[in-house]
Amino acid sequence: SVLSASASFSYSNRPSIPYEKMSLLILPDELLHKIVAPLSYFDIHSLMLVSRRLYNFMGKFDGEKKHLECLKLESCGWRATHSNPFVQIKLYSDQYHYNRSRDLLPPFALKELRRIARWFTFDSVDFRVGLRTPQHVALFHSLTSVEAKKMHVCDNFNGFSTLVYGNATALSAIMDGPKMSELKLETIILRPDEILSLYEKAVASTHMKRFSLMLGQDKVDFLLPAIWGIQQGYFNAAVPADTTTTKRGVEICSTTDHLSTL
Amino acid sequence: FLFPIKMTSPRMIKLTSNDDKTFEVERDVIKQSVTVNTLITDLNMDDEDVSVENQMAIPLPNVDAATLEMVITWCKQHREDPPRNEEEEEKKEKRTDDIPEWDKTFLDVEQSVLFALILAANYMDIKGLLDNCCKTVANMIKGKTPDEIRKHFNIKNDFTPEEEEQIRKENAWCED
Repeated sequence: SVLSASASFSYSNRPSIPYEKMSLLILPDELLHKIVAPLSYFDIHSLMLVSRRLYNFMGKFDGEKKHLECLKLESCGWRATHSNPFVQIKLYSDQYHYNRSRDLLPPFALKELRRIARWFTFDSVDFRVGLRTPQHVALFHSLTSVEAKKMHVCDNFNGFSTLVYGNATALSAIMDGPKMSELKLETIILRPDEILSLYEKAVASTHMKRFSLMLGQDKVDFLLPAIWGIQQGYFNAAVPADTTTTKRGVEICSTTDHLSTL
Repeated sequence: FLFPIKMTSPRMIKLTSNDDKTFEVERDVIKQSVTVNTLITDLNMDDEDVSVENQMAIPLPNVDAATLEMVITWCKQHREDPPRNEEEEEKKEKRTDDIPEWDKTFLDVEQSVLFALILAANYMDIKGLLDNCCKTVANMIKGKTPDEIRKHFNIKNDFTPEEEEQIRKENAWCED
């Protein structure tokens, strides 16, 4: 039988990896993959700089690497999609993706978000922050205005305004927060169903120049208040948003051309 | 009428390491190894009414005795664990802060031992052990600079300065 044949074989001379040669570098790719899967992007970056073996491993698994980056960012409570991991990262932590069971941001999230925010330029990042919880709001308040400006921008928005995307409760807390004047928040993009509860507060803000509406096509119930807001000069119109693509159709419109969209 | 009660001892399985040491382990304990379990099932070893003395040992040519002993100890400790649902495990958030306390202590060993355990757990397909070993290594990497990682794992830097600079440029946003 197979067993008896195997059992009769002596393994004493069979080569195996001696203990002194056991190291991280001898692990096969699938095991390295398992080790790096829960690591942060920054840890992975550090690993890539350790040796050729590790750099090549990450390079070989470019697709996996992107996936790992997403996993890492998810571990901070963010959702990430990548077009190019080194150039453009799109972060989402919004109501569409956010896992309610992880409402508490891990303590390391703030540090890492700051590092991301410091590097990215306006045209390379679409960082939509879903400010849903007190922790998110606290995080937002703890950022400097420069960081916040870099964080809250849309990639197809050419202006220089800080742009925040969040729900009414969180945004309301931000507007009441101590950093409001420092942030010079000019534009807020809201979901239409949240706009009514906030526009008065937004209009009252001396810093608010624009109060834009992200209008999903399924939100026709909010057309009337939206049009009213535009007529009153409270809002600029916004084109309907395509929430499924990275090139989201959220634009700040300055002309009346887009009113026809509404 | 009184029937004699037959006391059945747990079914034992023999495993042989690559340095020819044989271990006897309860069938119920080693079932956590998919590799061994499949072998036992495929070869109908469960059906055989053979005493352990006459039983053929299952060879494990990729595992040495010291490592196998640790693997068996781990399996004994985790014999009551509920069966893993791999699909669910895949969906779970990847974390490293959920290693059970017993495992943390058990895996607090020299790196060479830990890596041998990883290879053995992978070969024997013991997912729980493999997971916790890999998480332990991941925890060793977390938060360290490349230099610190090299030092910790005794890895030589084989990049040229130019190559290193190039990689840093590729990932500039990670740098403080």
